[in-house]
Amino acid sequence: MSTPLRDDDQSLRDALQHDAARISKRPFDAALHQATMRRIRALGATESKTPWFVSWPALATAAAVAAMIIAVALWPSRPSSRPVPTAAIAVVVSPVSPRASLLSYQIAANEGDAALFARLDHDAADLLPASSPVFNAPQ
Amino acid sequence: MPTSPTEDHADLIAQARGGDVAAFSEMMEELQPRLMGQALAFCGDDHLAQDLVQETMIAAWKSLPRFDGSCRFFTWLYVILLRQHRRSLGWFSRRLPLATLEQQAAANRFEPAAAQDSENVEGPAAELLRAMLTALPARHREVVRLRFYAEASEVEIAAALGISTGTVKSRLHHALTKMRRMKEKVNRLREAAH
Repeated sequence: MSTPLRDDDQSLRDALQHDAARISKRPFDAALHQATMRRIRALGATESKTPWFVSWPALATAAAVAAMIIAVALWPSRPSSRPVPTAAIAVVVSPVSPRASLLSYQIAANEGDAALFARLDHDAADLLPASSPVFNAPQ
Repeated sequence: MPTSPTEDHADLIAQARGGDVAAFSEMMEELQPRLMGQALAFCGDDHLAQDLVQETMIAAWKSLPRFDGSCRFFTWLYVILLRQHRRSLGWFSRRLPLATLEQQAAANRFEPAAAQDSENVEGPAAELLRAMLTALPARHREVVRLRFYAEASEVEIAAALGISTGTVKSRLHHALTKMRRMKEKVNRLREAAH
């Protein structure tokens, strides 16, 4: 079964070799050669006259990208460029409000209504401004 | 395997790689007739073949620093020729449908005057063979042309194309199998026509 296929392949190989053998060399074409070499020399001359920043566009692009990356990387580390959040400082330095715990309310309730209201007023004063209507005496 | 004249001129290749235009010119003077013969077989037209050879030489000069000597210089040049040809064809570099093979072979039979004028038309069998070659996928066609028309060994083809020897063997096998099937189909079409 494989013999005919191999024979076919061999005949095809022979046909290709035969066809290749029929392709003969052409006579040397001096005009074509000279024209081509002129173009090659002109190519070299153009390359040598071209400024480096034109002939190396990839290098220039890479340098620009690198400069941008460095600038971006250094940007947050510059202290003058970072605004100081005053509100954040206020939050940090302000003491924790000493509001009463649930136990203190229970103790105050055991002492009586006056103690409990005094405790509530104290905590409310921490949370609300002194001008709040809550602290005004009832009309 | 015939050797290229430049195999004896490794010094010329080295000089050309170093930018010596005169050394490159000397090498190309020796290789141009063979390159032109191959280009004419691809194009079938003197002017197109001249353009193809010129573009191949210029591309070779530009790529010369990348030639590492792992294959013969002519094999490397032939790969450039093949790729320049494919580029020049553009859309038409795609393989032909099989149906056009018989039409092409028939058209050649009805143009005896043109056949007499051209040295490249050696009859319907040769035309059909080249049409079948054109109908192959580019990667298969490239290997067949390098193996039979540039007379490169499988190892050389592998080096020139940057693929393994196993891949070269596989592509060659598939190419010949496809060509054999095309031939069988064309034979069936001919029998049906008669």
